[in-house]
Amino acid sequence: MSQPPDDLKTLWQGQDTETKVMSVYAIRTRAARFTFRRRLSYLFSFALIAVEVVMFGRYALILPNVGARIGMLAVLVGLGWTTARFSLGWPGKFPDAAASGSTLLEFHRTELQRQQLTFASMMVTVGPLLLAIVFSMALAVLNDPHRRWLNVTPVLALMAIWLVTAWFLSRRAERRRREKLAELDATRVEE
Amino acid sequence: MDASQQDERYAAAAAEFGGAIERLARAYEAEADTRTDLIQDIHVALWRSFAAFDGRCSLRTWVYRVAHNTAASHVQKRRRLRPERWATLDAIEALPDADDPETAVGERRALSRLMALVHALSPPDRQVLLLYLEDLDAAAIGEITGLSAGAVATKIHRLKALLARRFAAQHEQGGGRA
Repeated sequence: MSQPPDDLKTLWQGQDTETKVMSVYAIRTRAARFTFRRRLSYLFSFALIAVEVVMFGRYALILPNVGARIGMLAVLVGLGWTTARFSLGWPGKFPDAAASGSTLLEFHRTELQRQQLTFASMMVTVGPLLLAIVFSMALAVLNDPHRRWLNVTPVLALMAIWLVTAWFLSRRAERRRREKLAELDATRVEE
Repeated sequence: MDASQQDERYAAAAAEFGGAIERLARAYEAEADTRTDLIQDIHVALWRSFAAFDGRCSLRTWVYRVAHNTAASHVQKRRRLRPERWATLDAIEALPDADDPETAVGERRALSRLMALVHALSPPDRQVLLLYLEDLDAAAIGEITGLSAGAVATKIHRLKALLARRFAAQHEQGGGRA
């Protein structure tokens, strides 16, 4: 055999295949199911936000203490800020399946650069909400003689745990993001 | 393009390239059940893509591009679930040949060795090798993968050398086709 690769082409293309072509109906069903799942996930996210708004909004209306109400309103403002910042991070429209490799590469690079998640940027997003929660608790404690700081300690402890976890996760996410960008840079140089 | 044209184009493409799609799926997914899912995903993506097919590239290029992009997404998704190690061309060339040439005879054996090599390659190199094995020229491979013609030519040259080294030894020992 003088040209093994050419023989390999014949061998490769000569494989037995039992192609089962899907019916158009089956494809339509799958495509519709996929679209439905995507929409459902978005709806679920929006529903969660709506539940939080309703919950804090209700407290802002029914709590007897004016200070506590102000605190709830502050939480709502913080929640609005967080939601607005999160919505900025929604991924862009994914290129269709016929997109060329370079288009996909550029899309991925842009997304990676756009979705940088450092601890600082995370704090910008959720910081006002956390401050608002602390503010509302402080108002609740100061305006209610029966309530003590000890009562809100579990919430403060949870927030502290969340902050430490967020710090670790953001460091890991940023490291991975940099690795992926470096990988993409290497791909581009190769071209 | 209306829905019936989309269906017709898909049916024609599926009939013409169905075998190539299945070979591609075998190269990207070793597990039979998951491979069936991948083939179906490719067909769904292909059907959807024909809504936007503008004829600016050949049907073959379009089909391979859709199939490879879908397969690449599948591999990336699977990689997140079950991390595995892929090798670049440099690393593959440095690896010792696992099979004993004396026992590696016949097309079946050669095909399984070829498949093992394909599965071990990193997706970008795997993509070029598969398209080369499907007999596409460098320009078409570049159009599908987004690589420059020079980069494709370099990769093909190295892949051919690698295949020649790996399979020539077997041919001399076993007298097989590959």
